[in-house]
Amino acid sequence: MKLERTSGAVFQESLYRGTTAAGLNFFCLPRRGYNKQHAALAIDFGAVDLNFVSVRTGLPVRVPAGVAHFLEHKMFERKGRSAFDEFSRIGAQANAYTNYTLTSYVFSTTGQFEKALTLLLRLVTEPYLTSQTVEKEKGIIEQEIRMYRDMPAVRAETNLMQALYHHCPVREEIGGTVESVKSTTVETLRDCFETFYVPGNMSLFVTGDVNPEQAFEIASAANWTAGDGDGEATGVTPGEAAGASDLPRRLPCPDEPGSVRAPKVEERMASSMPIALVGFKDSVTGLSGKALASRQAAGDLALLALFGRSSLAFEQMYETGLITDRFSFVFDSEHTYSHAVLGGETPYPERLAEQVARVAAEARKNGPGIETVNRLKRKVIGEFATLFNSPERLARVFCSLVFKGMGLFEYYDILRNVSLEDVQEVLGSGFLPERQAVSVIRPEEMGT
Amino acid sequence: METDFQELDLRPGARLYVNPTDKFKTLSIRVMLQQELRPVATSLGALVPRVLRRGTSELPSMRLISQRLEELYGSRLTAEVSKVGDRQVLMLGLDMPSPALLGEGDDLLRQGVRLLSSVITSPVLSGGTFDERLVEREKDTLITHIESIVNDRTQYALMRCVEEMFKGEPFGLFELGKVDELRAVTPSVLYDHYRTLVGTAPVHAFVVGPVDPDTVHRMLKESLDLPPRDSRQVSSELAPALNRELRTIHERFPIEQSRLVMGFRTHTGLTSESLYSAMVFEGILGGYPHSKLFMNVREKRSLVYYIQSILDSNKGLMFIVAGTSHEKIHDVQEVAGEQIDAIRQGKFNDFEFDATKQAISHRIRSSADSPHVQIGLEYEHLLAGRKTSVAERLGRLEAVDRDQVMQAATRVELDTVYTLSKGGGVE
Repeated sequence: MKLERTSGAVFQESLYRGTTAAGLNFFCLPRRGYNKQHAALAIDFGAVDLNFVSVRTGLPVRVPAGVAHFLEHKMFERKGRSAFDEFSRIGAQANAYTNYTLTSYVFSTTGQFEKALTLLLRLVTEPYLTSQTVEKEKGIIEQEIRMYRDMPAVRAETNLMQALYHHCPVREEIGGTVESVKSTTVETLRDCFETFYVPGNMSLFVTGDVNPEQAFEIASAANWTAGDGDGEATGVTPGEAAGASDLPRRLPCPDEPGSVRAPKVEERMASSMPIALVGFKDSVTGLSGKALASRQAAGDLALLALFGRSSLAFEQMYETGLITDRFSFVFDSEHTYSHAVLGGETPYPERLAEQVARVAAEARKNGPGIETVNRLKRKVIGEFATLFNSPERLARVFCSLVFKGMGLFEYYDILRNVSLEDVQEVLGSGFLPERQAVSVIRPEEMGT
Repeated sequence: METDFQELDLRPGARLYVNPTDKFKTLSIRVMLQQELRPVATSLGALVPRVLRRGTSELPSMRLISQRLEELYGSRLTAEVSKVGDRQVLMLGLDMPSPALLGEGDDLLRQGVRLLSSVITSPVLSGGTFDERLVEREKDTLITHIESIVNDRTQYALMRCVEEMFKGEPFGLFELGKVDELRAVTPSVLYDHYRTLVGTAPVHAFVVGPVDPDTVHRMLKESLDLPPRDSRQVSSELAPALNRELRTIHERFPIEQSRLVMGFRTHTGLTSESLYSAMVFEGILGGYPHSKLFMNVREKRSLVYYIQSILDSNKGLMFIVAGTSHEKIHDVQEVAGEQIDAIRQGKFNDFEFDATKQAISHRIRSSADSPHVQIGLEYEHLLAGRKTSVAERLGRLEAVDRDQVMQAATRVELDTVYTLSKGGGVE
């Protein structure tokens, strides 16, 4: 098949897209002059995907928290060796990450791109899962969870999610808990693998010094029959593998009430200064495609207008010592959840929370003006252009958009077209006082 | 593939290095000032960039500077310090999206250059010196930063290990300064130090991106008003051979996961003939997922969640950093030591050797794909007094043989073992 080419004229770049016979979504954005080749293979399976219909049994299942991350760890295991070695052998560097909505496997190389891409595709088709290797991994994941539990900023965020949400799996840590990891079995992991690791549920993005047609050819040659992880495939032609064309059937999580579960949560841990995070649970969820991307863009602009470096609120909070220059915020809008989180280290957590609430309330009555919104639009447009400098960052943003049904250049158009009304709308419905929760970390006695 | 910087005169004693390339969508400008690491001066040096980004005579607040940066399509102002060998480097920079890409012309570039220049040379003043409230605020924030390093347990452990290794020496000073020194800073002392830095410190300026070198050269000459200076560099010494016993430091801290840092002297610097053998040795040991530390300490023995090595060739140091549980600290240390011994005895296979060389070669090649890495490398090599091309670096890497790796492993000397955990002392 021929690849479809779209050009983002302003960036002087072209994006090539196609679908392999097996149903894998393929995207390529060549970057002239780069030495590096970078590929990201993203699976539409993240930490929030805990309820689904198992393709193995045809029955609905609820899997333990952290399972997507667990599976990501296991995909690198081969019989008696590690898939990392296979990449190292040809001078490529592989890595992977799991977030709330997706799992992504990536590599960078400056040499044997074809071989590395073949390895990447094989990586997601061949799990080597035995009860012995799964048990061993639990110890490693437990250490990882403990490492995150030592980070005050991470703990503040985890606690905030638990305060904001009653049921939605976004309230769980991405890696799960020590208990949920312990309760994960080989069968659970197989269920998840067979349900979600199908070509139609994946997107491959390649960038850097690459040839689109050649990369597509390699992607088309991938063998989608799950082997046993020792590198020997069983010879079924692409597209014939069971379930290759079936998309996973996700089940909605139990109805999430509009209210927050707790307006305030607090914990003590070893930390140099208190941390306060304020969260607003958006009253608009269930969006997808353009509507979802527009809300994300409007939410970003709203936060920048209210709390960005150029805002009066930031200046005032900074000058009075309420915040440091590491005060930060994020608007995170997905199909099943949407919220804004802002805050950071502060000597006065309560005062910071009050101040944030006051600024949000004031903005609902008397929002930012058109000059502010237009100036901030220049900022986000320019920052979007700088993404193209880094193959890794470009791939990350691409993957975060693709499962929302959003392309890179399309998202750029959305950024350009966000209106003052969009910003006012999100301020009116995304920052309500009754949907606000505060998470505080207070220092406990430090070491000697 | 080459990163070709053109060298131009900016001011007497100050040079500009420009790499014009259409590869990037941004223009990155960096101005580096250097000074010796010294008590008090280092604290003042850490404070200067923070005060400079607070306002210029034309845009006298951070809010107004931020608005201007937004108008310049989300340009980013960087003001930070780092440690390069025995030097503290103050870096002031601006990254701006390419004006041409956004349908804008040289005027946008001129505004960007002017903004960065005035941040460096015409800070907002009050009564002929820095404003007292502003200085107090930045002192507080910087102190908060220093105190918060402990929240990142690994970074804290690494910082403490360096401090212990170089107690009483310049390199033992932390690049962000010291809390008690910072508390004592007055606006006039800080302003004097700033004047000295801008007036006399060695300066290098860099530009990478889609730009005509003559245009940006002219603009910088127009607006970056620096007095003439001599072009002498601040000198830096490699860490010499150890002349004392191995130091063991344990700190108690209420954390779930313990941290271990082992500090070594490598006796190999950026200009050493054996630089590339040291890099291959460190790579085989712990730089990558295929390395001995990861494979043996984590994968085979499950002793740690993470373990890696870090090389600092500006000072001739290597660190092994691990996160583990309190009971396992001793084992981790022992197994890590065994891995170094194994390399000394030539116990590494072709795969470990080849994969490491390939990984380093990948890093050298891809350094050209980032404007900031390009600038960082160019600057390090200028400081070390030895410029090398990508081709030369690849050639020297290729020439490293197994014997040289064994020699590099034999040269490293364990200096200090630092542990941080909730339990008591570690034997």
